[in-house]
Amino acid sequence: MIIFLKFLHYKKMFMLNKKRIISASQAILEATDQFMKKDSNLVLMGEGINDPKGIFGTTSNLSKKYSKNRVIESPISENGITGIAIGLAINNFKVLLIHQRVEFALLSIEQIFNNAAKSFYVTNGIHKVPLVIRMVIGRGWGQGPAHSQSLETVFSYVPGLKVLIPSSAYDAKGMLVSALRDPNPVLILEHRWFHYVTGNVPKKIYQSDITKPKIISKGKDITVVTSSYNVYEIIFCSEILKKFNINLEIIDLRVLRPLNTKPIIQSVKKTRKLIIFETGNKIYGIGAEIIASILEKYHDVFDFPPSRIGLPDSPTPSTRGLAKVYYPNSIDIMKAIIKQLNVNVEVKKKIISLLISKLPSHEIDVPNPNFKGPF
Amino acid sequence: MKLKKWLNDDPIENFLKYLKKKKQYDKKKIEVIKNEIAVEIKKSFDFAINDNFPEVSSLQKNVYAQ
Repeated sequence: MIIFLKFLHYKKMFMLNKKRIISASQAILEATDQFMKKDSNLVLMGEGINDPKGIFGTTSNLSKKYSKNRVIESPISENGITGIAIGLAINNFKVLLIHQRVEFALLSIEQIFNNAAKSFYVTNGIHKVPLVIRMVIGRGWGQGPAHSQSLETVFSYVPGLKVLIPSSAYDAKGMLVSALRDPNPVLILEHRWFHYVTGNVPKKIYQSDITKPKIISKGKDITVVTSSYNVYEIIFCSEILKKFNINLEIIDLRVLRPLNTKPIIQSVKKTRKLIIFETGNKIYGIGAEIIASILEKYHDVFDFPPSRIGLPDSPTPSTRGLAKVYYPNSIDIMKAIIKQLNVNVEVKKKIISLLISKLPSHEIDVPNPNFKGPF
Repeated sequence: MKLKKWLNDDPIENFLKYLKKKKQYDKKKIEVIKNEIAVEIKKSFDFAINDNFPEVSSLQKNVYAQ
């Protein structure tokens, strides 16, 4: 009997510690499926949600499980479908609208900015708009200037919208659930390559916090704020720097609007150095907003001018020849980090050579094979 | 199975079927068009494969007219 009880105890402990590793795209599919099962008022809409690839697998087979009234393969009429989605949301439905590329949402900016974002405000809190819009951002082979932009700051400009940018498989599910439970519009920006990242994702339905950034690695030497797929570039650099006793404090931004800078300010007060690595353009980017917010309150908090890494001021090129100089690579990022640190030339050289030795040889404009996780 | 389903949805093939149904299908004309397309694709592929990558400075070319 005692042996049997011990067995049950260890089995329980094992089950509690057992991690369930799935990809971010599987996590999104699971969250959507679980929520649709639970809430019959949730309607899914989007262009290509029923095609064989199912938006990176995030909508695969949902049309087989649920009725055509709930999984709506929409026509190429973004402003129209967004208007319908807002109308449904005001009338006691929840809508999950998906744009396979963020650029498709540009055709519905008027609906998003003027109706979704402001209905609650202009009706004195009467009309809630429980609408979630998922949009895919970021680079990918051959996507070029009009299909690979990272326009998260465009949407972050508008009061009334919540703008999320998950980086992990755990948040992929948890943030989507939180967004679907929010009574007003929430936009989720997903980097194309983030869908392949894996991590521990509980089977049960759960929520992630959508109010603030998260410190994913504690460090004393410099604060690095980043988001989405870029988190993995910074983790990669961080692992190398640890060998030289340099510790980065890595902050995953997660929530672009409302922007909560408190954890960043607390970190910067400790490290007195800051780098922001964003997925979008450096000019008019989220980095500018963060630095300005800090300096408005704490003008003497930095020992070194804060810096930003982002995309250069030109449209995204399609050709690989230019893509390799357009996107900041691990070496660019590492150089920007060590520029702020008090490191001598020899150590700098050693850091860069170690970094180069760890770089995988893979085609440009495809995900780094080392960034699949689990994280 | 899936491929077959999507091949059946091919708008070009369906348009050809439609032309046949309407007795507007001209085999010779269609062959000419198909050949023209094949030549154009090959020409584009050859150009892309044999051409050098653009200079890095061209990243900023034509962003603004002035």
